[in-house]
Amino acid sequence: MKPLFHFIILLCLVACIACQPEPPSAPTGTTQRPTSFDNISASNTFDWSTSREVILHFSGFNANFVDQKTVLILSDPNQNTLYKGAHPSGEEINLHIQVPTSLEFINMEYGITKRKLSIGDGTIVSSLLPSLPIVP
Amino acid sequence: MAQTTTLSMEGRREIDAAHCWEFQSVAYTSTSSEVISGNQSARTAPINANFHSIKSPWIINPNGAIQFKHRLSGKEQAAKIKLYVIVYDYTNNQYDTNYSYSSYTAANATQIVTGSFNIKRVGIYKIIFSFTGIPSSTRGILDEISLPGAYYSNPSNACLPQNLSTDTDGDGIMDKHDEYPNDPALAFNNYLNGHNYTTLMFEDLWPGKGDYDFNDLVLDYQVNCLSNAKGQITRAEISIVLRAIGASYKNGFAFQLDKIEPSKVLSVTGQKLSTGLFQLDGNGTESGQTFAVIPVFDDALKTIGFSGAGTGVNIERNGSSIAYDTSTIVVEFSLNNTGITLNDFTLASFNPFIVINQKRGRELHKLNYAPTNLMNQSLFGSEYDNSNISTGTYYKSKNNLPWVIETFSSSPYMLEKKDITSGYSKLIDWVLSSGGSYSDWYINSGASYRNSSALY
Repeated sequence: MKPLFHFIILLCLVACIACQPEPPSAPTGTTQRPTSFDNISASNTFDWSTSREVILHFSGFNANFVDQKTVLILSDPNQNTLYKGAHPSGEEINLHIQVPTSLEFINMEYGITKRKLSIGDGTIVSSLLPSLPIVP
Repeated sequence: MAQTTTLSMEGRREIDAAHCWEFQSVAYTSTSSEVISGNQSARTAPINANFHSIKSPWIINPNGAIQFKHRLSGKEQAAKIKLYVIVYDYTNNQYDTNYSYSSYTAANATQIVTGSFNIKRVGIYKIIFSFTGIPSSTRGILDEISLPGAYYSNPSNACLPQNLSTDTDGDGIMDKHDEYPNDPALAFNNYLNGHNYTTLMFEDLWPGKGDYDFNDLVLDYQVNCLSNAKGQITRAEISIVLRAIGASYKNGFAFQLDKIEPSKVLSVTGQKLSTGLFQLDGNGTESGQTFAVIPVFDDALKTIGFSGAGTGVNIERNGSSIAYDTSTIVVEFSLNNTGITLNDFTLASFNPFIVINQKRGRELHKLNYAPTNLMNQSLFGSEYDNSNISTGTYYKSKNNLPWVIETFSSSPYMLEKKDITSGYSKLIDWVLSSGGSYSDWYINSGASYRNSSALY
């Protein structure tokens, strides 16, 4: 009987081990991280550019007695000037500038108008007019 | 007839603010029960102990009547509300309260009152209308402000008095903003790279496969477009710093201005040409081109002054080391017709390239930048190149890899035979995310980003 008992115990152990869930393994088909430049496979739409073009549109306003041009200054957060040009306040201004892809905001200054502009998807629509606080 | 400065309040408050009127807790109302005249009047927030004011622009030599109309919106605490009219003297930095005005009663609070004071001064002044009182729901209302004296603010100069707006060269740009205050032909510097230098790193075995250390030619460049008061670019100054050569090829360097015809260029100076690689027209642009191509140097090794043995300069710590060479290319532009504006000359249209080993038809540009007219187009699609002219796809491998890497700020480059990914740890992550992550892969100098031991 004793050998039979040992056999049954062994059978149970084997069954228990056999019924254990398998340890997770790496999913098949995943791409390993490239180890060199040559191994990189980039997206066909990726342009490898570290800068991007930002299109800016500023709407003007009717300045009925001021005909002197005012200087529009665009700068990055480190106060590096990205654009400087003189424009009358009634003019629609359309500009294209190049900025690092890591840049998120541009500062604009036009007379007393100062504004922090979010670059977002690369198109900025704004106004030359100042922003005034809402009065209750 | 004496000049006057008025505020009608019939437009947008922001426009009046742009004309140097200041509003503190004051907006415009079109509520008919509140409006004094026309379609709108100025209305304060509910009055409390703070000032709720309108400040005029600067006026000069006021001589006549300060006129205005005013009322309150209700009777609550009316007897505790006052409207002050204050004259501010710019020259002496003094507030003159002699003109302080007006208290209300519950009986007359909502009646329209015409205010008028005579003033006779010489100098620069600002008139301030300010309501104050104890907290209540009552608001102050103003309209038809008319001031004696001519408008004397300069909206172009932060609304300061006009006499502070010096324009020495008379080009319409105040000296404060004019970077060339004594030259009417120039007004502004426009650094297209934002005052930075941009680094270009080339693999010159194109269309063959390179070793991806991207140091066969390394240079920095900065583009400054000098514009006049009309926004026309009269001159461009392009500074090119040749830093390293990890090749034995005699490579030339040039750039094409993708939107500018050669005829718009008057002259080019600063080129370092000796081998005959580039044939020039009289204005310094390359012959036979649709767009202006401006050669900078035709032999990098000669330009940096290397004549020794070996295959590189400034690419190994114990190898040949030579001081960087700086070329300053000055391009003068024609102002005929409308001239060139900053929308014609953008950094995106600045198309730098090398000519590999003195073979004029073997150009290497940045990924997806078009070649010039003199490119040997049969090279496209050969060896490892997977360009497709019909779709405007240029200088791209089958894995969509480039032969030129550009960083928007001046960056360290690789030591000889060091794969660029061994120096810039996050470059792979940036590429695999298609630029969505780690866009600072070349900027961040932290240890997790940059392996200095692989960089020159």
